[in-house]
Amino acid sequence: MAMLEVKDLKVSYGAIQAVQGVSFRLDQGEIVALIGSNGAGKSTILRTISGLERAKGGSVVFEGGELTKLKAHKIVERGIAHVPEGRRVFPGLTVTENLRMGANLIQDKAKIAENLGKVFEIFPRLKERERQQAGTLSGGEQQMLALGRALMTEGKLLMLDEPSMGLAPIIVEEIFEVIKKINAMGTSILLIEQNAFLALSTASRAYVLETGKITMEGDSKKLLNDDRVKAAYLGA
Amino acid sequence: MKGKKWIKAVYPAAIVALIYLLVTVLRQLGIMNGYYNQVLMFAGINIMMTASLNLVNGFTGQFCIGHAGFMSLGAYGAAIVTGMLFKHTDSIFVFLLGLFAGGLAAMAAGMLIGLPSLKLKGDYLAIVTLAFGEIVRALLRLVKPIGGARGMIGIPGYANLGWILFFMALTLFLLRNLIHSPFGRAFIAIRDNEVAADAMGINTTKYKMTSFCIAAFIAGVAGGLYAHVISFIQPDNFSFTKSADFLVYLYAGGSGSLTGSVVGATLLTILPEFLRFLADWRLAVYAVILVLVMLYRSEGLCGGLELPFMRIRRKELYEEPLFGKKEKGKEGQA
Repeated sequence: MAMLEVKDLKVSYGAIQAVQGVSFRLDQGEIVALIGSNGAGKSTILRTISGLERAKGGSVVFEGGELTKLKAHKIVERGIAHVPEGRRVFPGLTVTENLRMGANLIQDKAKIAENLGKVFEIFPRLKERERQQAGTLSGGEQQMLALGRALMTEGKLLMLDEPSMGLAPIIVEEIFEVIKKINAMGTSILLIEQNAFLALSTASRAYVLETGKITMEGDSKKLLNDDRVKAAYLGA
Repeated sequence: MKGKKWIKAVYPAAIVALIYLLVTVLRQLGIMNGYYNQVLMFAGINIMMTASLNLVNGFTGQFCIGHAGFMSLGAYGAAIVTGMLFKHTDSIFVFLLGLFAGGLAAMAAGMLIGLPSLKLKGDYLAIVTLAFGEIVRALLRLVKPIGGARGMIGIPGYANLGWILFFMALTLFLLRNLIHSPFGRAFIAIRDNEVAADAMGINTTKYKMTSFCIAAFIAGVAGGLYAHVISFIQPDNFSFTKSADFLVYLYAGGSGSLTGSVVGATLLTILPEFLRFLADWRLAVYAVILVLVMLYRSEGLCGGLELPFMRIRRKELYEEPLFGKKEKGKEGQA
């Protein structure tokens, strides 16, 4: 059974239908990528899954439970962690405080400390800056912090919205290495990325989204070699 | 370390006590008259108003521009208790009961308008709170038993500088501790980025509501004190101009800084009185001073700054217990 099953999802902003009946699934332990150009509806799908946007129709089932009627904080409780687009850290709080914000649903203090240790192990750079205000970090560090903060929620599914946006190529590489590492540790990942090459070489399966509809899907290796994908997204 | 903490806890209280003593002595000596005393009382009340507004606008990132509405409900609530219900009982407990009732009335109103409107963001919330302030004023004008538009007279003058300083210090103490608690962290997270806070599992509506209600309660108590200083209140005392005053105190002092609220409210309450010798030019000069502050210190006089005793070093609160143990453990192993 799929861990996450999205069926015929429809989302509108006023009269504009941003997502027009999208269906996809994600199995336990997978990395699945949604690729597509600007305005294809990728972010809207993630925002709807995590309850920041309301669906007009269709269903989102996570581990057997329906999510579309739940509030955002209830969905986090179910085990979905969302890293929103554009590195939304809390600039007025320190690095540690940001990370602790992610753990605000966990009561067990020892568990929080343990998770904090894990995050600092994955991102030694954050450990160096633990007392620093998040607003003073570099772009790459802020993205690491956003990722680390999502890990603190102990989510079973991590949803990443454009983790490469606005970052230097060398940092992007580092971030994607970490994403693979997090996946290897047992967290399933739903990834949105404009950089299709990067997304396809990281994910096991992928869906191609065009103006609110899925036009192609399948094994990412196959998509990487597909002529249409090459022409449209890989610039070949 | 322990000695330091002890001093830290005591000296803000000592400062307040010292101000009180100084004023009392100056009054005994005849250097300070009742007029100055009253200005200081208003400064204390304005500090409470500004600090509570700061909780909503400065720390939770919402924009409330109808704070005088809460103040008026508190003033009327308290005045009804002391001036009507227990008119013939002259007791401190009646006064305290009145203040509490005023605070509760304001908080109830805060809840009432917060529930539908705190889901709104930014400008929309501002409009709702603006409308709230005006609606309260219009309604109070219609209620005949409490004087309607003519206002309420004969409210016993229970409040004095001592009480006001006490409640002001209590407010600042509570707000300081609140802001440095996990609750406060959630408020700041919402201010910094509401979407991310939502995505982290923070029930943003609940926290915004909490912040709003606490602020309304404090404003209600401040309103109660105000009523018992001037012993005559009318709905027009709490117009939008009043709300705007608190906003000016807040942003001139520095939003997001409790020290800023104290400095802003104190200076700007006293300043117009000092400028009285300018007669008609008084408000013009006041305005020019405000413009200069905003030009040369746009974050407010104390923006981003906090006096040492208005800040709890965050480490003391929730980093030390976890890290202290862990680091010691590591040292042991090594």
